[in-house]
Amino acid sequence: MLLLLTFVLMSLAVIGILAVAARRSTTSTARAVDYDRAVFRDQLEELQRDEARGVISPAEAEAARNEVSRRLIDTADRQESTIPAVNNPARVALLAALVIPVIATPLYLRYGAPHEPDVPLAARLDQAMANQDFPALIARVEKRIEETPDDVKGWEILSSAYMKLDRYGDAARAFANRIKLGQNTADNLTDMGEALTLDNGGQITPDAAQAFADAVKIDPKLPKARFFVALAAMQAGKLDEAEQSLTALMNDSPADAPWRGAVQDQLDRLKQVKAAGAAPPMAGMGGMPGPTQEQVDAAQNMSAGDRQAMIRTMVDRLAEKLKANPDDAEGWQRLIKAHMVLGDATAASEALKTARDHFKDKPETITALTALAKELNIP
Amino acid sequence: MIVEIGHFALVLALAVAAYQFAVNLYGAHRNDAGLMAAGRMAALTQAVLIGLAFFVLMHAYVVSDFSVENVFRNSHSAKPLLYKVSGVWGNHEGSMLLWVFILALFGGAVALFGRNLPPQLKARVLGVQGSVGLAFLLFVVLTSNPFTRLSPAPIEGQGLNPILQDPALAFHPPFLYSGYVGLSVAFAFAVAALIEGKVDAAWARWVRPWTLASWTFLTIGIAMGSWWAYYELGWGGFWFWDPVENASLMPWLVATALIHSAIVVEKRNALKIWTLLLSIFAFSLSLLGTFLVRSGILTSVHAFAVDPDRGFFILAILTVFIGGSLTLFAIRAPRLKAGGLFAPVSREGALVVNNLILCAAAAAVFVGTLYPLALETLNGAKITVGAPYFNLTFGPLMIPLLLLVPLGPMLTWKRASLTAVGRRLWLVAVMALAIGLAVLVMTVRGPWFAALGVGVGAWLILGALWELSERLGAGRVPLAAAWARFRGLPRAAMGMTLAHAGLGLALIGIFGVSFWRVENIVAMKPGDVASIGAYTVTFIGETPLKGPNYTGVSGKFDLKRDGALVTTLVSEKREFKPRGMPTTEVGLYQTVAGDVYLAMGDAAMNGGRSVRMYYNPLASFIWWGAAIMFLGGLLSLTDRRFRVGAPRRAAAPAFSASEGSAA
Repeated sequence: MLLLLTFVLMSLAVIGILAVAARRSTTSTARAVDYDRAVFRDQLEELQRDEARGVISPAEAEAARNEVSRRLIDTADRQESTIPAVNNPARVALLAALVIPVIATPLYLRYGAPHEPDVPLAARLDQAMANQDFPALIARVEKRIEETPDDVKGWEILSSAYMKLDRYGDAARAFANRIKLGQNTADNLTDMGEALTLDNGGQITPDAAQAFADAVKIDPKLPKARFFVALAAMQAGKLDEAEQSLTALMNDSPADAPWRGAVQDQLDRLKQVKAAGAAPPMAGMGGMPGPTQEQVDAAQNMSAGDRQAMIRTMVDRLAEKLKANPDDAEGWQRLIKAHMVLGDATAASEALKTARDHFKDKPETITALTALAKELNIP
Repeated sequence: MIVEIGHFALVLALAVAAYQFAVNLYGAHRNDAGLMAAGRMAALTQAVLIGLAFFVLMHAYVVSDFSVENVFRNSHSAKPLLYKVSGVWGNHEGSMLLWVFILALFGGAVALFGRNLPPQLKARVLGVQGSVGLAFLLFVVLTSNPFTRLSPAPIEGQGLNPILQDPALAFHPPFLYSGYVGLSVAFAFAVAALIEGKVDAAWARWVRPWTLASWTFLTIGIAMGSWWAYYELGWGGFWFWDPVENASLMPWLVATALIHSAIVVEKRNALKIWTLLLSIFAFSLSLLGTFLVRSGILTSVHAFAVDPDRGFFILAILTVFIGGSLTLFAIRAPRLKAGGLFAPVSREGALVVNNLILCAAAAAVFVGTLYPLALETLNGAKITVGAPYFNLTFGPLMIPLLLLVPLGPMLTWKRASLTAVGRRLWLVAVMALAIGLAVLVMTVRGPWFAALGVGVGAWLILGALWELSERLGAGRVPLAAAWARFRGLPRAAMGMTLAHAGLGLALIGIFGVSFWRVENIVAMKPGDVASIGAYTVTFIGETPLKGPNYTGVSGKFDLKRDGALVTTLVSEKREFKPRGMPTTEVGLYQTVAGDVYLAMGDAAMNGGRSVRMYYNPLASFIWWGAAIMFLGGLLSLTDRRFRVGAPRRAAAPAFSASEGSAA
């Protein structure tokens, strides 16, 4: 409302100024030639000054004076503008001024954002708490922690906030700081490992594996840490070790433990992989390389069955993409790997055959495909 | 709310520009004082409104309001205040807003200070200015709106390109734009004269201060850009024949031609049609420059295709204004009365040669800049036209022009005698020749081009000073009288002396750096010693660096000459926070004789640092020369003849003593 009022006042001010200017104008008494004459007279004076100072020779001055004088005389002969000067008071000008809002309003309505408030940073940070402004709150804590990096409380807030906002890399750093500042607990170590893993798209990094191992050392019973240790073993290709750990975890878990589904799911997968006779080194939590952060995050919140389904849809999507664009050699290799991870050896060998047929003119790609097939034990 | 007020002010300014365009031209046609008065006020109102929008955007930058997309993309809360402010024009949208703001300021200045202009001429000038403003405001609002909002607002911005975070570059665009846009006034005067069918000595006097002002701004703007490239890019050069640089050089060359040809119109009522054409060309080239820089066509013809809206919009503006004004010229120019006659050897003749050479030079730059673009558009071939082309075309054109510079002011109008000029200038010629020869002898195996450059530079400086001393009557009149003459000298004459001498100075610097530079690129460990020119450089060591929005390393170097410590130079490698982009801060030791220029490179394999060292002889002459040219322009602008007042009353007959020029 206030903004609308301001706009109206601004428009009125502009129209008013223009109308007043038109009204108060008087027909100039000077004619156009008078302006020319003023210049020519000034040129004559200048000549006089220059001559008096000896800057130009009298002869030069005389010649120039003749010329300027001739121009001055010419102005007398010149026909004055045939159109008489008029002064149509205000009416025309005012009418035109009314056109201004007609141009401005639609343009502003099209491009303006009258409902968007200003968001200056300092004020936003000040009112972050009152407005429940989550990113601003984090920024405030970040700013404070930059000055007092030993403030464990700040890192606590940040670590959980980052996890919520899917900023896994930042979260891992925040957990690392908590651990460094004395909170060297099994929970924190596990969470840090989880953040590192999520940040890496589901693949457990050496750092993360170390963190899980350390956590289990502190609290050998912690189920989450044990789960990840098993997962790390699986990704490292130590399938028997992984199976033992997972089974032990299953046996230690109460019947109503929420994580039983996930553990069971990994056990099933393990069996599938074993049955297929392959030890895919890249088998991971997500399995498919390169899921987006969003997808990884979604996978985290799913039940094990749903997760498997989601991975399947992603693989199907990749297969479809390759149908449309079969030239993507890397895509084919990814698809073949993914099928193997899902334990579908038949699909994998089918994909391999299609790819071989398509790339029969490209020896390098064929070589790469053959190497992959050998590595994955695809018939 | 503040942001939206700025946006509304911008849109309102667009409407006012449309009003200014229509009311002024119609009012002048009808000779209607009321309409013309409203049109005049519209020019002022437009300037105030765009100013409001501009300062609102600046405010958003200063308070880091990231709900404005433009601020989010180009600012960061940790940036120093200066760069928050300069960040406003460090990006496409903001710089276009600055462009229209300066355009409106020039329009407002014509409305405010143009009291000595005949009302109809003034109204037509303001009308044409309004049309340019309208076109560019449409461009800003429709395709490059700086007030686009983001919701929800991000908490932190993406930062200004760190290479632009530099004081010289912070102020380079406003000056350069003032030069570009100032030429719109000359253009508007030319179109107004074509509409009226009248161009004469008085017209030339009215248009001259505006042309001079834009030439002055262009000169300092280009010099600042070159200075920035010199010490920020870290490669020791000052001019790269880059299309962006060429885009500013072309209008400068034509504007230089224009200020000279306007003298002929003012003094002799000749070269009138040519001067009109030059005014159109000068502004056309600055429009072209804007198009080249702003459409993205320079990065690549393909980048242009990515955002065709902007490119085609500017192309349309270009077509309408250049095509329209040239058509008008074709129709009206034949009806204009031709001016006075003059012999080939005369001041006019010399100025014609000046104009021809400058235009040919501009054409050479034009071809070199646009040919690769045209070729790439036509058949996709990528070629680079670099320094060798420009040295072969631009250089040989400019040398004869430079040789003529001291002669021009000595020639008399209408008909001059070369022998008379020779008699006055032979001493200067001998001195310049002697200096050139001395340089050649001193640098036995040195490139003779450098000696040529120094000789020509000396010829320009001494010629300018000689002309001044002749005017003062030095040697002929007592010192006190000469001093009195000096004080009474028209400021325009002083301005010319400074501009010509400054050009000579800059020339010496350009030749010095180009032909005598010494470079030494080495890998150094702390304690290592290298030599550059007459100096030795000792690498002391490097320390980590933490600035407000960057981190990096800073290397210290002791600079010694003949074993004595001269100074300690510091060169930095910075990495800027939001984008992780590295920049180099150059260690620079400047003396009259030359600059020691030291830039730290990347860490070398063996734990050392690669260090680029240059000795650039006479480099500071370039910028001193440009600064003196700038001063010359400013001084000329204050000449009293540009302040001829408006006639008050025309009741008295033409030749009465009632003076109208005293105000």
